[in-house]
Amino acid sequence: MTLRGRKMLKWALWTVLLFLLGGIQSSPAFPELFEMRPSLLLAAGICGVLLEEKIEAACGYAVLAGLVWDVVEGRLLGFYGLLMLLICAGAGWLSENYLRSGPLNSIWMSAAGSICCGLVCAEFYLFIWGYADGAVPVVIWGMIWRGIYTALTAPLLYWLMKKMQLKSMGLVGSGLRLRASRMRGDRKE
Amino acid sequence: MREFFGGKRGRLLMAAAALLAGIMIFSARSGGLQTLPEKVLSALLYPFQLLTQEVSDSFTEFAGVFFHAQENYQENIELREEITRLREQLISYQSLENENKRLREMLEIRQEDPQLQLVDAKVIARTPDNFQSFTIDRGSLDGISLYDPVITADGLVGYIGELGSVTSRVVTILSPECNVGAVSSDTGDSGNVTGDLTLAQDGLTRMELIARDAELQPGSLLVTAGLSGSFPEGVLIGSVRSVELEENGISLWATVEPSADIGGATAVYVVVGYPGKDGEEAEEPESEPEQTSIPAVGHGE
Repeated sequence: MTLRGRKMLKWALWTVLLFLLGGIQSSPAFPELFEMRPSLLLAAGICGVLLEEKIEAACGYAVLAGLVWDVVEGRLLGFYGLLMLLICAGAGWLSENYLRSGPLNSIWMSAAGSICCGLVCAEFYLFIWGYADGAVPVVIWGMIWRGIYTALTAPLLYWLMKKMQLKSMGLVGSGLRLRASRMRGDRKE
Repeated sequence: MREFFGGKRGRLLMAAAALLAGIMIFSARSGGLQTLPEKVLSALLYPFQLLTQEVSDSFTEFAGVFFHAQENYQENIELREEITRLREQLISYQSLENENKRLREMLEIRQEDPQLQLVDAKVIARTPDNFQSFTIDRGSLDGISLYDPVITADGLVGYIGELGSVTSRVVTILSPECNVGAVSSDTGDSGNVTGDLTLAQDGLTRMELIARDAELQPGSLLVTAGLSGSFPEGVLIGSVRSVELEENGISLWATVEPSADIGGATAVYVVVGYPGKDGEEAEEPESEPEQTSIPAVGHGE
C-alpha cells in the first residue's frame, strides 16, 4: 500500500472510532460516575492532536469530534466544534513546543479540556437563562466528576488510537518519524 | 506562540473558527429543525447508536444477573410475602376480576380512539445533561413534528425538542425549557409545570404559579390542562410531593414527582395527533400570566 493509502486508512479508522465513541458515550446503559458520563469524543480529539504530527489535520479531526458531540448532546451545531478547535489548537501548541506525546499528557489535557467545555456549556446553557440559580455547586461538581471520568478514559483511547496508527502506518510511519527526528537533530546541530 | 499561530496555520485556524461560527448562526436560525449538516451527521451516527444500544442492552441483561443477585433475592422474598397477602384477599377476587374486565374494555376503547395517534419509539441515546434528555429512533420521516408530546404508559415524559429525519431529541419535563399547563385532578387547582436544576438531580420537577388559596395537597395527581393545544388534555404528569409558598409570597409552588420513569425509560410514545392539537379545537384561549419565569427559549403551554 502507498503512503497516501496508509494515511487514508488511518484517518478512516479514526473517523469510524469517532462515530463509535459518539454512540458509546450516549448509549442508555453507559456506566455513570455520580450521574456523569465521560466526554469520550473530547478525549479522542486530544489524543488525535498528541499522536498526529500535522496539527492542522489533528485540529480538523477535533472539529469533527466536536460536531459529532454537538449532535450527540443536542447542542447548537458548531458549539462544541468551535470549543474543540480552540482546545485542540492550544493542546497542539503545547505538544509541539513543550510537551512530549504520551498517555500522561492526554490525561490532564482531557481533564482540563472537559472542565473548560463544561464551564462554557454551563454558561451558555444554564447560567445565562438563570436555570442554575442556587444550584451552582451541583453544576461545578458535575463538571469536576466529568473531567475526572474523561481523564480516566483518555489513556485507553490514546493506546487504542496509537495501535490504529501503528497498524495502518506500519513501518512507513516509523520510518517517517525516524526521519523527522533526525531532521530535528540536524536542525539543532 | 506567534510562530505557531502565525502564517498559513494561523489563517487556517481563523478560517475554521469563522466557518464554525457561521454554522452556529445557521443552526440557531433553524428553529429546532435539524439543518443539513446535522441531518448528515445524525444519519451517519444512527447505525452506531443503534449498535451501541443493542450491545449495552445485552450487556445490562447479562450483567444484571450478577449485579442484581442480592436485589433479586430481596425482591423474591417481598414477592413471596405479597403472594401470601394476595391469597388472603382471594375472597374478593371475583369483584376484582369484574373490575379488571371493565377496565380492559375501557382501555380498548381508548386504544381504538382514532383521534389519539401514537408512534412508538425506542430510546437510543441519553444526553449527559442535568435534565435526562434523550434521543429516540424516530424522526420526521416517521410523521413526527417538532414539539409533539412524548408519553409512556405511566404518563407525560416531555416533548420533541429537536427534530431530525431519523432521530429526535426529547426535552423532558425535568428541564426548565419545558412548560406544561397542569391541573390537579382532585382539587382543580392549576399551574405551570416546569423543570428546576436542583430538583432534576432527584428526578423531580416543580409546579409554579399556583394560586395562594389553592387546596393542593401532597399526593394530589396532576394532569395536563390541554388548553393551548401543545399537549393533549388529561395526560397524567405526576403527583404532588410538597407544597410551599413562593419567595414573593404571592403564589405557591409544588414539588412534583413525575409518574413516568424518565431516567429509566427505554421505549416511549410520540403523540402525533390528538383533539385540539396546536389550538385548533382549544376550549378557550390561554391568558398571559402576569408574572412568569418561562424563558424565551422554552416551549409549552
